[in-house]
Order: sequence, then structure tokens, then C-alpha cells
Amino acid sequence: MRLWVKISLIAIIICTAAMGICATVILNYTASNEVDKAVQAGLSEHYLFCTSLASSVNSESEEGLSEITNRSIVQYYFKNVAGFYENMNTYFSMTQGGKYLYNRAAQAPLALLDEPEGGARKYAIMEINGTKILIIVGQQELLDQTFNVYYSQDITHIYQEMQKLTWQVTWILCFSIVALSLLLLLLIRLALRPVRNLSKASVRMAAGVFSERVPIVSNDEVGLLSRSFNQMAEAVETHINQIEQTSHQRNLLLSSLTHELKTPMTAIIGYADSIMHFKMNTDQHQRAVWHIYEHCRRMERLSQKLMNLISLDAGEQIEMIPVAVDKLFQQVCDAVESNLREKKQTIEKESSLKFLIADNDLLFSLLVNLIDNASKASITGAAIRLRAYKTDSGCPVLQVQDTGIGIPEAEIANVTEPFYRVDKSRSPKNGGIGLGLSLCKMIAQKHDATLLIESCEGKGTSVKVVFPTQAKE
Amino acid sequence: MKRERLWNSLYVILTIIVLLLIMTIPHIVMCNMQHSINQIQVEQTGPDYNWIKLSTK
Repeated sequence: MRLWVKISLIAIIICTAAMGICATVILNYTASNEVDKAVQAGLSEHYLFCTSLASSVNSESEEGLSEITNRSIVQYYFKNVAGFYENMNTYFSMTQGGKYLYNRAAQAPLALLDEPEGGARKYAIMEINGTKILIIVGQQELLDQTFNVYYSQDITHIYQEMQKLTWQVTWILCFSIVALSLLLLLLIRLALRPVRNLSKASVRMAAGVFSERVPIVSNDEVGLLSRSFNQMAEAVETHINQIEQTSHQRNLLLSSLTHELKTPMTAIIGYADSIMHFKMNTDQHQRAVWHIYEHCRRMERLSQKLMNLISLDAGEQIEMIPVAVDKLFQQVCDAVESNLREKKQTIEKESSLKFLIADNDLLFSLLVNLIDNASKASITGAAIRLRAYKTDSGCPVLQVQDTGIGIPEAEIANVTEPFYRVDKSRSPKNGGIGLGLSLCKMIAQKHDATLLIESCEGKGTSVKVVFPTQAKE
Repeated sequence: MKRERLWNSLYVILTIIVLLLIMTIPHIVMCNMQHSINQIQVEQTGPDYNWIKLSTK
């Protein structure tokens, strides 16, 4: 059974029970009240009848009359007054000593209610053949004699009207409950629509649709649940995307690595095979050995950079200490001096920073890689600019700028991808393996810094590493 | 699942019972009215009969 059906049924049970109990209590009270009113009216009429009878009899009484004559006088006046009430379907009867002195009622009142023994009046509602009759009896002293005055009135109509009213109320109640049930079913179904949406969204998410979100239509518990669900879906989607991206990058890295290893291995195998199977002169032999040596060096550099990338990617902790920028620049210049000397290139250092909070070894590696790239892109005799300064917002920046061939604008976004080369035919010749900028990007990320590459084809490239604001230099 | 089925049946049965009970309201009311029939009662505080007696003299 669905939740909305369950809630609706519970609401219908409670509402119906409450309405039924209220209706029963009100109808019972009304019925009792109606009967009480009829009894009180009967008692009042009985009293008025006795009063008016006594008044009439006393006005005509005379001293010294016999008991029979007095009884006849009472009978005469009783008949006159009772006849007036008979037109209103109310009957008065008079008895004395168990005998009727006057009776026009259809039912014999003496058979229904005994004569009273004291002064207090007696009354009862009697049922005879489905007819409800209110009978009241009281004693009345008239002309020194005691008479019993009976009052009879048919009050069946009160019961019939009450029955009619009760059935009317019941049918109205039934229709109201049916209408209320339909309304409850509709409203509860509408109110639980967000829960159904959540359920459907969960099923779709379980099927792999991680972009699934539910609309937030309220601020109640269901709205909070929807919001939490969306947050969870967002987190799951981000996580899954990261995993997929990482997996994709690793696959790419693996395929690129395989490709990168295959090229020098093929060359090494080829040269080694030539040395083994062909007779070579000293010069040819020397050249073959040199090629094998160069390709082995290339593989060594490749493995070294890959090791660095893997260790950084694995989340290895870095040592953040104040690094003296001048000293760092000098170390970098010493390291790249031999390479630059071959191309007669120079470095122009410029630093307005004294210290930088960073990992010294990683910064060294970053600058060496950037200068190495700048050197490869620049012509013989070119100058490479190495700068350290602060931006207007106080962020330290390290910049390597060259006047080389530059990078096409469309390629700038891809140059930090592992094994990505702008000119596929150029890099191997220059000894490049396409991992330098990937490593630089990862080092920058480890320092919460941003690697910005600005380049203009044919004019040069500027690579900036913008660090976050630091408390001290 | 067995307990859930039991609860579901209970909801349906309770709904039917409550709806049927509504139809018994007229009978409950009429039974209550019938209860006072054939019960002879004595008036506790009646009219002042002394006044009637006095007026007859």
C-alpha cells in the first residue's frame, strides 16, 4: 500500500470517528432535550388545567350541597374545560377511587398509570402499538373531594421527527465523509508529490543518471530532504566526475607513456641489433653507441619526471618554509647554466621579493622546467627573463618570460596535459618529453598557486606562477 | 513485509468499520430515546398545590 493511501486512510478513520462521535452526542442531547421539553410542557398544561378547573368550580359552588351534586358540578366543569383541550389533541381524564368520572382519551389512562398516592404528580411516556403517549397524573381537591386528573398527549411526532432528523444528519455525514475522503486523498497525494519525485530521482540515480535533481517546492521537512538529496547528488556527481576524469587521465598517461617508451626502446633495439649483426667501422660503432646512450638518458629523464609527478599526485606532504628568492634564482641559474651556454642564451634576473613561503626543492624544479622550456623555444643568443614580484593585491608572483616561437592560442589550454606537445615533431628532437609543464602545474597546485600562461605566436611566452597572499615574505 | 501487510489490512478494516458505525448513529439515538419509555417518574419539585387548595375554599 502506498504511503499516501495509508495516511489518507488514517486521516479518514480519525475524521469519521470524530464526526460520528460528535454527531451522536449532539443528536442524543437534542433528542433528550425535545422529550424533556414535551414533558415540561405537559406538566405546565396539567397545572394550568387544574388551576382553571378549580377556579371555575369554586366560582359556582354553594354551601350545603350533597357529595353527588358536588361531584356532578365538578364533572360538568371538567367536561367544559377538557373539551377545549381535546381540539389540541390533548386529553384530560378524571378518576376517583379507580373509576372514571370523565374520559375521552383513546387509551385508558388508568391502565397505563396508577392513581397517585401522595401529593406529587407522576408521569411516564408509554408506548402502545407504536404510539408514544405522555401521561401525567396528579391529585386535585375540589369541593372537599379528591379527584385524580390525568393528562394524555400523543408525542409520537417528536420521536418521528427525531428519527427523521437523525437519518438526515447521518446521510449528510456520509456524503461529507465521502467528499472529505476524496479531498484528503487528493491533498495528501499532492503533499507527498515531492517524496514521489525523490523516490523516482533515487531510482534514476541508482541507474547511473547522476545529473538527476529534484525541484525544491517548500521549506518543510520534505523540502529539507529534497535539498539534502540535491546536495548529495551534487557531491556524488562531482566525485564520480573526478573519478572518471582521473581514470581518463591515467589511461591517457599510460597510453602516452607506452608510446613514449616505445620510441627510444625501438631505437635502442635497432642500434643494438646493428652492433650485434653488422660489421661497423669505429665511427659507425661510436655513433650507434651514442644513440643508445642518448635514448637511455631520455628514458631516465622520463622515469625521473614520472616519479615526481606520481609522488606529487599521491599527496606527498610538502615542506613550506621561507625560501630566499635571490638564493633560489642563483641555484636555478647554476643548474641551467651549462644547457644555456650551448645556445649562448642568458638569464635576466629581477626580484623585488626577499622570501617566499614554499617548498624550496619544488620551486627549484618548477623554475628549472620553465627555463628549460623557454630555452628550447628561444633562438640562439636569446635572453630569458626571470622575475619575482608582488601584484597590487599582494600576491607573490614568479615569472619566466622568453622571446621564442610562442604557443598558438588554441593550444595554450592543453600544454599542461601530460605528454602533450605543441609541435609533435619538434620536442623529441629537443629532448622534450611533454611532462615539464604538467609537473609545473602540479607543483603550483601543491602551493595553492595558479599557473598562468600568456603567449603570442612568434613573439614569446610568459609563464606566471601566482601564489596566494602570504603573511610574510 | 508480513507485519506491513497486517497493518495495511488493519487500516482497511478500521476504515470499513468506522464507515459502518456511522450508519448506526440513528439506531444509537433512537435506542437512547426508547430508554426513557415506560419509566414512571415522580415529579420532584411540582407546582404549589397549597395555592390550589387555598383557592378551592
